[in-house]
Amino acid sequence: MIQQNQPGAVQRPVRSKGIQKDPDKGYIALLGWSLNAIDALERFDRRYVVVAPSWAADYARENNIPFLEWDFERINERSLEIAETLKTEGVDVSIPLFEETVEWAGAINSVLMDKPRLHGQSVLFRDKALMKRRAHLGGIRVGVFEEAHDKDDVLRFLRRVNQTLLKLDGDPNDPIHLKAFDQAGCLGHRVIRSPEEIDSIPDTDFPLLMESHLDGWEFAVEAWIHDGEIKFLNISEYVTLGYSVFVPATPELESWREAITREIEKLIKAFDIKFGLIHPEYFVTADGTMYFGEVAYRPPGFKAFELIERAYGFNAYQATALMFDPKSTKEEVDAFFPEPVKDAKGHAGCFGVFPRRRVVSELAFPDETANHPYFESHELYPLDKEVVAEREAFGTHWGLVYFFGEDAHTMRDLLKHQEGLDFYV
Amino acid sequence: MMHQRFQGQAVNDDPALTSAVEQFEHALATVETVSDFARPGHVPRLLNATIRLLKLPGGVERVHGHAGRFDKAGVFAGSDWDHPGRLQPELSRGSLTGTPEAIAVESLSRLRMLAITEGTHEHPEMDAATAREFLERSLVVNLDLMLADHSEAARAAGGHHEAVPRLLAFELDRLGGHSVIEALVAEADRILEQRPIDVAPVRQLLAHVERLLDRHDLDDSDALQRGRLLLAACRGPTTLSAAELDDYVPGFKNLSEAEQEEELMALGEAMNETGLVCQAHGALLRELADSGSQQQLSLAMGLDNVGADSLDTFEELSRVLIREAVWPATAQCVEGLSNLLDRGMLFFPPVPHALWRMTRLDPLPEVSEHLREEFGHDDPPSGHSLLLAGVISVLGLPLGVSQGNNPTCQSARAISLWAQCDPGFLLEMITWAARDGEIDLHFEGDLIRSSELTEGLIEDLHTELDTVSLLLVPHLDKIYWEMGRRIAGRGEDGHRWINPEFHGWWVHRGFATTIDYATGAVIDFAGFIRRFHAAYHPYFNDGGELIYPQPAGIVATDPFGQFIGWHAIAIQRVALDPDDVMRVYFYNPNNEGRQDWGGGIVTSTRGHGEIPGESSLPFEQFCARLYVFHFNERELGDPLAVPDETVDAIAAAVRESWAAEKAWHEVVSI
Repeated sequence: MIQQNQPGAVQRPVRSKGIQKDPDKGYIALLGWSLNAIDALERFDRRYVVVAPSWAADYARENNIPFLEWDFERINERSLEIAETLKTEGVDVSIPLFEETVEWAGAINSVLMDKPRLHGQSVLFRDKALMKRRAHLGGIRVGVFEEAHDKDDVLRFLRRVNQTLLKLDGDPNDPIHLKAFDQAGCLGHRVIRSPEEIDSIPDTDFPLLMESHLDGWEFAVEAWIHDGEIKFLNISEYVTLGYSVFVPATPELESWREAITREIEKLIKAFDIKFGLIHPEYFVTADGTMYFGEVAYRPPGFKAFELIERAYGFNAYQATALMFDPKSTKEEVDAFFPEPVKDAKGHAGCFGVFPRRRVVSELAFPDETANHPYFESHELYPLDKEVVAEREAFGTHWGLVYFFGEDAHTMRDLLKHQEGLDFYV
Repeated sequence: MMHQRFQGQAVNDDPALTSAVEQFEHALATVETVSDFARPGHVPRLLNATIRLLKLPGGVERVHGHAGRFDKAGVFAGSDWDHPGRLQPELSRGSLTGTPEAIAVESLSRLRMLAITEGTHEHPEMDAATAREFLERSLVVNLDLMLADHSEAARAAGGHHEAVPRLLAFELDRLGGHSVIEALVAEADRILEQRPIDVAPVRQLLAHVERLLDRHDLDDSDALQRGRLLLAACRGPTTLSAAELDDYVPGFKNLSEAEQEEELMALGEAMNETGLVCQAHGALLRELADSGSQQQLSLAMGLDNVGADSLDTFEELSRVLIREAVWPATAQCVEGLSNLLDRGMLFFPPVPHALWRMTRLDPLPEVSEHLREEFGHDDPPSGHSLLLAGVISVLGLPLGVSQGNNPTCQSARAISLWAQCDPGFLLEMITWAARDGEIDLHFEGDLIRSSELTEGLIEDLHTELDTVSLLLVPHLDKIYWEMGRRIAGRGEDGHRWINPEFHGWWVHRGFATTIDYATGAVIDFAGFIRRFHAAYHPYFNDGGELIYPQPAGIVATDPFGQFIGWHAIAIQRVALDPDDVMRVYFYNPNNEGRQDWGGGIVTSTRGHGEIPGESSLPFEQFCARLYVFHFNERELGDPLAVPDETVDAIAAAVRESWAAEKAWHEVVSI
């Protein structure tokens, strides 16, 4: 038993507790530190090890969490080492938990599973420009996009897009969207409407991806895939992008489920995905046309996994492990999932809090929210001093507020209503 | 009413309860399932669901149904509650009055102990007897929390405190037992000693006692006897009065003259002794008003010499007041009437005339309807009777006026002060409000009419109030706010001008505050305290007495001495108590005189020479919470005669308490 904090060596718990691990099932490496993911695997019948940076080592040891220290920031000649260590350890597959570990997982799995293409596939998920191109080649409808290396590129793209739209001088521009190549979700997302706004982009944001604006209803999907087939498809409805999401979606959005399923199948084919969990975002226009936004090969942000568990009762991390595990059987997989929408006990949603005032000094959780029968909990922290709230691009919320209840429309309106409330004053 | 609360298991189809139960059970199941290291992330959801469920009728029972699971689920892991053997019942109060999370954990822990007591759960650190002992002791020290909480702290804290009365009532019901009854009875007595107008909370406590006495077979004791006596005062202190209400008057008429006298004395004594009046008492008094002798009326109301003289002088008025106001449903106002007569109120020149007018007054239909709705009775008497009963109660028990759960201490104080020293004015206000639907007051020469104002806290007026308050507070509060609006911008505490105009000329124009209005800093505290001594302390003001009660402002603090808010009271008098301690006797409009303000400052309501309804504190302790007072500039002693040590000690107490985080500026003399 190795117990010291030694990078590159697996820290194993001294005593095993919880559920019995099945040696005939896969051995899984989680790439990245997520307490809820670890908890899910702790309670699952697969062996697992957490691969995460050194700051988590002491905590892992104190809590008997199997642990392998690794710094994902550093990609160098030793990078193959982690794959070799995991292979020696007997690990069958690695699962990326965060955007930053997606490419690592691809590289590691290509060694563990002896499938060199997996690394190339993961690069597609990491580079938004490559991702769009691949989708486009696969016959999926995407907006107009280009890469930008400097501000001149952005200005040119803004002009060209609006020229294409036959705008005259003085007409308001259609906005364009800028996204960092390799960041998750809304991080680094900017909307540009006028040439003047281009000056505010810091040079460090380049290179980035520019996209034309897509009108329509934006939503996300979580699809669990085994042996190239969708085993469970969840539709997450955004009330306002970057603020709130809930599952299952309203009956209006769910009415597109079949069309959405066909789109996801195209995506699976285009990206040659055999197993795992994908989290794509789409826009659907009033006539049912779907535009592909982007796709991630990792659990979504905004605690969507936790919402899915609250609504459906199954653990979405365990579901993901089941998909990745090469030793999972079709029978086990088929038995795992409930029926979408019909088997949901209610709608689970969450709201990301941003301070609305520029200077805030205390947490003032609104009574009307606390007393709403759908409110379940929040993870906002009290402040102990005055803070100037900065909000760059879409930024990071200050914490989530969780809701659960029977009616989809009540949930949607409730989440929307939160946007007008002050949680910090 | 109280029975329904516990029988209420037909509430299963209540959707709010169903969804709260689902949330609670899901959260508990999650906490149970997750790994130790992930649990802290899920416990907040369980605590929130717990509070939500406890607040609903039938909710406590549903939480209790899972009590055996909390320990094993790790709900208490890593906290003091994980070791129930180490918990102290005296400290539970901090949790039960604390944050929603603290209330939730404490509740789960207590329900677990209840399960241990009942033998449905086991814990290695606590056996059934110890668990029972803990809960009994804790209930005893927290009994006041079982009643709707009207303290400043509760008002400031918001809704989650609703959970606590339900929880404690449930425990009480399940636990029963001698010491608990004893505590209930003592609590009822301590409230009654203050002679409040509204005795509904006491009747609630006694309803608990009644059920516990019925259900549990207990050895007799002083407390049980006292409990039975209080219950008898509510239900009927004699065999005849405790029987069917309709049979009482005929039954009384069948008694011999001597038996009648005995019966009347029993009623009068029970009322004087407890402050409670039974329905039969009301029915009989009506009869006596028509056909009884003066002697019989006097006995039935337990009058003293002054009361008997009042009755003799104003016999016709007294009989009419009874006929118009006293019904079985309003019998409690007999306590007020008895006190009104005993206090000689009718000898105040305007009072008999104003009361005659009230006996003929029919309130506006909307006023009548409002009073009848709020009376909380299936078949309420007319608005006219209810109003008159309320007027009688306020004049009889002026210190029994309460602001209820409203931030309207100013208005409650005004009503109490008028009832004490300007009853003619009060009766005028009541007449205007009831007949004209408005009142008006003058402020610095301008007329302010309540009917022309909209601002005020009236929208959420809690209506557990006496009738006069119910009628007047909405008007008074608007006028008070309007006066506040008019002094905005003067850069000084507006009570300097508002108090004399709002209450009456007899509020002194001399005004002292220690709070700098602009900055909130404490300014010249030593000078402030010296002046208070020179104005109010008989040793420093040449033995001057307070002629009229004076409004004053205190800093409300919690049991840890932490600042809660500003609160209005009235200084009634300053005098030596039976132990020769100089005390300030004051009226606290929130009418729960027994309060722990931290730093050893606990207000007293009995045993230190208090008149029923007065609170008191030793002079120095009162100074440590005072921030505003009025004084008579013509009768001021020498501030410099007050010893430095006295002033320093008070200042030190203040700086440890409510001024701990405030700027503090001394005046430096060169």
